[in-house]
Amino acid sequence: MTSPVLERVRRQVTRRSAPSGPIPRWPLEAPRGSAAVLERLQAAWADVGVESVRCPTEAEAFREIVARLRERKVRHVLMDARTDRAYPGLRESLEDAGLTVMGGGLPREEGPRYLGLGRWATAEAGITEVVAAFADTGTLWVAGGAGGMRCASLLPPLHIVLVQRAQVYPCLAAWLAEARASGALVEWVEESSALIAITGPSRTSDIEKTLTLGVHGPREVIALLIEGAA
Amino acid sequence: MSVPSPAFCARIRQGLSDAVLQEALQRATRSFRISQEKAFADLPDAEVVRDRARAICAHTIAHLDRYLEQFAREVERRGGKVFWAATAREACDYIVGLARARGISLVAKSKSMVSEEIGLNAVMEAAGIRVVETDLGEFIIQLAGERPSHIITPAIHKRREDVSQLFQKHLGTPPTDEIPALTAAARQALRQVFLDARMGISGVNFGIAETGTLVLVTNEGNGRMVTTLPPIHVALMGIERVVPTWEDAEILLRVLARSATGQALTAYTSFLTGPRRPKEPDGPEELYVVLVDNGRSRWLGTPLEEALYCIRCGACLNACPVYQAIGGHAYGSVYPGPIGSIVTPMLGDGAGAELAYASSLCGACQDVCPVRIAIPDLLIRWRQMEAGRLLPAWERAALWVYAQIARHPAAWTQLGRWAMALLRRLGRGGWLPRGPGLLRAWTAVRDLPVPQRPAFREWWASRGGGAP
Repeated sequence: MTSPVLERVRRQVTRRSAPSGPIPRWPLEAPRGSAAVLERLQAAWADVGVESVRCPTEAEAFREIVARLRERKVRHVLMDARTDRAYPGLRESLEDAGLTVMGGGLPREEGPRYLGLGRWATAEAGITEVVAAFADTGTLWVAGGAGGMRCASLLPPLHIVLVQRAQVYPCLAAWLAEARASGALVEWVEESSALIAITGPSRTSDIEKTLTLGVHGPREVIALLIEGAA
Repeated sequence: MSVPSPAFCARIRQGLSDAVLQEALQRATRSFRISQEKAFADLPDAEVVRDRARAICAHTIAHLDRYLEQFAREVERRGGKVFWAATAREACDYIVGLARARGISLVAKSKSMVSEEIGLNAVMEAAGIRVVETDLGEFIIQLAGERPSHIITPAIHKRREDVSQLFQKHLGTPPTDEIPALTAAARQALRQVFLDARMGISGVNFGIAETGTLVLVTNEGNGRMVTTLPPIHVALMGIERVVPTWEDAEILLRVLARSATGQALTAYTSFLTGPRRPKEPDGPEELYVVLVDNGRSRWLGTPLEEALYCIRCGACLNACPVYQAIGGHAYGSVYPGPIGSIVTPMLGDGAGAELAYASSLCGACQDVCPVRIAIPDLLIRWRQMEAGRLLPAWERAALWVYAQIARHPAAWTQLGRWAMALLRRLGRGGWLPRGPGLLRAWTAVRDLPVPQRPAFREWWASRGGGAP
């Protein structure tokens, strides 16, 4: 590969080697899924404005979701195929509650794509699973890839997210270390055009530095932490 | 030409006399400093992280060709297209060409300092393409027909009343001074733009070379919208924004938001690799990455290359007493504040070297810089480089004479004695209210204390000390 820009860069660089110094500690060091990370995660969620609910089982989480959606009079839900696969029974619970579940994929041709987006934009809530959650910052790590929808965590004013205890890492650095070692990082990059770290609801302080939620993305993020058999 | 130029002085006076701006700056920079300090206090090994972040930048810039080439190759391997733009003009023409070829008339844009640098919006508008800024602050600035006054909070100088009037005029919003209502009005107006736009333009915070991944941080989610909803995503990236690995990006992310907004992480950090994949339900169908040089490469291998470590967090603006006093617009450049004064003359046609004088060299900027850029040293370097060109002849001559004297201790001591004696003669009651010659400009605004006896040298000698 070449270009005049790259050529000039090549002529000018020093190729100086410099000591990189010690590697800093991770922002949080604790075992994945441990009581310590769960506690920190919940504290971080509270700090960034994520409402969290601890559920002993998936079934309990589904009931919680339906209750929350009913409270808010939600009728249309955006949910992707990945979440559908990860949580069998969730779609039925929603449909049994009279909710319309939108999913599938956008057509690639411009006109139909536009119409599909317009339909998705009417959803009052989006439900997704996560690749991981990071306890130090209260971050939800969501992905594209096969059936992984970017819009479900972006377009609706409410984002509901399901997190399994074993998915809770102390920090992004810890997830990276594991994903690097296992080869999962490369796989994610190959099949997914987007990995998104979501840390709280959409926010702005652009007017008089006053915090306002939901400026473009969700105003409300509710995380259901499924503890499973401990 | 005098330094600073009359135009620059006029902008400074305007900033200083703008009471609204002064209040907004005070309020914003103070609250910012508090949250930033707290965010770093909560980060384990914070100083080691900053050292590491600096080392990553230094290494990348020293081997920039290697990482740029790898980055471009990986972007293309995953279905993106890379365009190398040597100049601002080339970058703008390329993007206008992309839009024209598809008959695109509406573009949604998230914040990109590079786009401001290359003047993209004006070129697009001239070509009949409507570009809508979707970051709330940038949107307000665009409606007002102004330019950002801060890297992170572009509308830092606008009050809610100003925003309300702009929205009444341009969006038909009813009058309100409720900030949530103003935000909701913007959400509604911009949501339609996101859905209708057939091209989204974003900046890039970091480009990860090993996988060709673009890292974008936003709080509002507009960055996610413009990179997800329109069928075409165009990413504008300065060539210095590349980092070798994901682990390197993670280190830089530990300091970026903490320095920029005092958050541990912004609400959204997107890692985008290539366009929509076969099994993905959404995402852009096409991805173009425009790598912008615009003068950057000429500084590689020079002492000023250190300025290319900058991760555009804006912390040095908030820390700078000069910025706090005069505001971003006074600089008259796209990149304001201490780092802006260094970077501005490095880019494009090289204008703006006089900005190096808009600093007291107090060093607060270097203290807060997450990658420890020696900002005062680089400002001094610009002053040295430009001194010959910008200073009037008499001042250069005077500095030459001063340099000669300072190099000869005997002459220095003797002349010092004469000068002190002269000042003592002119003084009244220990103060000099009106100095002679050039000193008058200084005494016009303050009195000069007259040197006391014994002078330090005399006192030192009386104690039997050697040459001080």
